[in-house]
Amino acid sequence: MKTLLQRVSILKSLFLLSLVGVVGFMATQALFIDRETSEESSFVVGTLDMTITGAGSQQAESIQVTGLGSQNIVSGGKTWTVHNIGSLPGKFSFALENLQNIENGCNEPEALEDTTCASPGEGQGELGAKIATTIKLQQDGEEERVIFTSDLSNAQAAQYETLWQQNAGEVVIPAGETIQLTMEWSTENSQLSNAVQSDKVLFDILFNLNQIIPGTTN
Amino acid sequence: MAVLVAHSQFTDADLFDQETLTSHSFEALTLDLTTLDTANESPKNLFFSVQGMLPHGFQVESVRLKNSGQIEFPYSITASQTAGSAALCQNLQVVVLQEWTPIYSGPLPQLNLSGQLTSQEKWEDLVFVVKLETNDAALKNQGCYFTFNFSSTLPGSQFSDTEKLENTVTTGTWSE
Repeated sequence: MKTLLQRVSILKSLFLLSLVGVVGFMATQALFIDRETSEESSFVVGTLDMTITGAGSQQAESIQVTGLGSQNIVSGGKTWTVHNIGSLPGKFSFALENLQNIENGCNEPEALEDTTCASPGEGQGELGAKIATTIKLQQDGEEERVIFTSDLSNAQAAQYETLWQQNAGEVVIPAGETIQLTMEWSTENSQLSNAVQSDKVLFDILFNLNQIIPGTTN
Repeated sequence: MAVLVAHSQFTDADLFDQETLTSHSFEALTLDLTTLDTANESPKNLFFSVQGMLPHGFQVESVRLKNSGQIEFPYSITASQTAGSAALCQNLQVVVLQEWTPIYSGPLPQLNLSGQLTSQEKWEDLVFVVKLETNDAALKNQGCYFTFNFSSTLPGSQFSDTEKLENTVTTGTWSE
């Protein structure tokens, strides 16, 4: 039988052997390290920018029509060139805002059939509902295509952006490229009754270009 | 950090550009034909009011047709019986003068004139004569109620305006 003293000595010996082993391993470990430095690295942010021009690179013009009701003024339109002058491709969309159908009061013939005759009477005008619009798009040398048709009534104003999203698909303008956007309008003579006399329609057109986020569809 | 990147995937610094083309406008014309008193340009709705007309009697009235709209328009002038004796209405004679020149002379029911008010604030003065030239006994103590109708419709639209001047002519009695 080994005495208690002998057992302690054995444990001390085992501890010392382990300690020597660990120190020896650490002292002899070979680390292989390589380091390369790439100097003057930089992050460059792309640009997203567009310009809107009219026919022949002239300054873009708004649609401005007076004299509706005359037999000579029944249809027209404007085409705008959207140029992506940034360094990134962008997703294009189109919308209408600030649409106002203004009554401008009523003269005697108009008052016989129109019960809303305030002046200026914003929102009371009937003219916008009588103006049919067609939005067309031409891109990448493709044939011009109709995106949607609508009118300029108060109810339709908010629908332009929705109709674009539903019908245009994803319209991407690569950096440096252009698209042609056309807004045509027309009136039916038989639709222009006394109720629209002196009425006025005002609106703005928005052209939006959004960065394309990889991995997203919208 | 790795967890954050894995979950965010992309940064949220979307680039965006918006251009606005403002002040698009459409404006409709106005068409307005007004009938005015030739002396003071007050609105005129009542025209002839003749009581006890006798054979070879006549009355004279005038009216100013004014273009109160924004565009020139064509107009027509007709007469319509509204009540009374058809026989008397058919026997009333009408003369219309423009710049003192007769442009119509004939039976009331057949009146049908046309003209053009060329521009805004343009007017035409017309003089009307109503007369009874027959002494037919059947026309004694009769009445003819009628309107002169001034109508305009703008070609190319449904813009229209009609003004009516109301008239009364009654006859008296006479010996044949």
